[in-house]
Amino acid sequence: VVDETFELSSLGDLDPKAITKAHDRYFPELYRYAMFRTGNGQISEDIASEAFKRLLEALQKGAGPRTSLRGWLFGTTSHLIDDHFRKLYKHPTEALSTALPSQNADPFLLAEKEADLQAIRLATSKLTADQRKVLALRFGSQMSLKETAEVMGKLPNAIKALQFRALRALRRHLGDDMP
Amino acid sequence: MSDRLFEALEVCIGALETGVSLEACLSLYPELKSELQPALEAAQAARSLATDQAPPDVLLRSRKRVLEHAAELRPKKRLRSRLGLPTLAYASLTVAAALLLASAGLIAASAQTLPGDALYPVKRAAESLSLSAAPGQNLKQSLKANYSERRLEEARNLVKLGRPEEVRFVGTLTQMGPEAWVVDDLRVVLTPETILDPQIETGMGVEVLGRVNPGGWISADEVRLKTFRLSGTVEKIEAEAWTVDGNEINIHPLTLIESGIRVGDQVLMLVQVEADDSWTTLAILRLEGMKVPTSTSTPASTEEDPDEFEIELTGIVESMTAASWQIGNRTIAITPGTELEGDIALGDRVKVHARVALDGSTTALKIELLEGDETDEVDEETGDEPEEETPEPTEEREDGGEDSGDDGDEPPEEGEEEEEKEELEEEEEGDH
Repeated sequence: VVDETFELSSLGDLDPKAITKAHDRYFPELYRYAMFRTGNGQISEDIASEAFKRLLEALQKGAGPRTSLRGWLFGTTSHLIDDHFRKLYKHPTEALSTALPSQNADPFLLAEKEADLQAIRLATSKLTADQRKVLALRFGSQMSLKETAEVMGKLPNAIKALQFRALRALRRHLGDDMP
Repeated sequence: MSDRLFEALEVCIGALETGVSLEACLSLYPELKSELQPALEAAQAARSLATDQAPPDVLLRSRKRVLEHAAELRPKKRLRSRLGLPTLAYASLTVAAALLLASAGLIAASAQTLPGDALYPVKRAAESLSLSAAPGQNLKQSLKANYSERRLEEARNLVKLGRPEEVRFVGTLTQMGPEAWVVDDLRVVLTPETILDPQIETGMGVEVLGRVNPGGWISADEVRLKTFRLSGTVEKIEAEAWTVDGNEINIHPLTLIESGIRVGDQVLMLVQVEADDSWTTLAILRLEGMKVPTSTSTPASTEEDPDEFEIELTGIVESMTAASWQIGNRTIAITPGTELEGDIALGDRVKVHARVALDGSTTALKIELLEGDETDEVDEETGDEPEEETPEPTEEREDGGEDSGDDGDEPPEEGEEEEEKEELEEEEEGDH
């Protein structure tokens, strides 16, 4: 039930109702998508928010999605995440502060768990863009195969193959130190 | 890659999700184990990166940021004016009005003459003269307000004196009995001949046309709706008109607009009904953060509370909890007294009759399902989509030809094979 032409014209008119509706509908999955890749709540919130701002700007300029709003939002979110990591690599000191574990638990256990997660994230970063995307959509945003196919503009069968290859490659990158 | 392997992977990913162990899954497909195992191990790792839903405050914070951004993108010409407002008597009832009263600060100090006095016509003539001579709309409006206050004061004095004169004044309706109403502090007796505006409710500003009775009351010939309050969410801000909850509200240069109101804010509006039945917006005030000093009446109480008023709105049910629903852009409290009509589910379009307190909190009295909901069955699929706007690359489907994205669930298709081309890095993820 994905209405692809989801009130795009109302969004272009900056109609608050349409904006609120689209935001509340897609923000949660964009946020989880970003969380999957960054592991940081604040950054994920900023990125998912930013994707909507870019959407409004694009629509105002007469650009933006023509068919799949959802696909466009995920594409933009992907870009923003990539930008985020690019910046991190340039200023590596900030990288340390990206994933702070919460309090009120054994700090050592947490640190260990966090290290495991970082290792997995690092392994996913070595995948191709499409492979990363399919995993983030399926496991981060928890979309069905069919939804994933729609968002990525591919056929479900292509997604199945892509997903299999992504997982196989991920396993390879994880190496022996599988958590 | 065989379809069977993909199917097995899909089944096992689903099974892992429900807590089935990896070993149990693999035992279902012994012949695929060597290929399936590494993929499932990776799937478990990927699953561990998944997080819970964004907390509600994160969603709301983001929504606010996005709406604010929209407001900045929107071309804006905000009109503002500061001036005294008419119908102060009405305003004095509410907190909002108290603000206006302060800004107006108009008291008719010189109302010595009363209707029936020899000099009274002179006073009226002088008034209308200064009104026509007053330079600029602002001054005119102030004078009108001043004169309106005088009329009320005159009526009060006439009642005290018991002098049977014709009166016409504006005040706030504070009580509605079957035979008599109270407007400000004046008793207004209704007769079968009295012409009443059916929309009138307690708390509204009314204009009374009548005659003073020596017994100390006013017998009304007509009571007209003069001012009332509306509240809602600002949806659009333009120079000439705002849109609030779907209603277009006309703005004119004299409308007092609290500074800093943005799209998405809850506002309280004071609206005046003109002689030709058109509406003039006197003031727009922001509701959020506005504290009601007294009133702690429970939402369930059926008392008439002048600090609350009722609204009707329609919208989509966006979330439902026991205590409140999100409908449109609004959180609406649900009480045991709320009347629910129809089998309402998330996403339904409903009509809500609700009571709004001055602080903007909304309690549903009745919610009904609107049928013929135009959540249009998505019938489109106009043309095959991924075009240059969709921000992802479109390789990967140069195979089988048909790309009409979705056709229900995958039909059991004959022989199309995803030829396993380990695609190499395509760093570009589309653009826009």
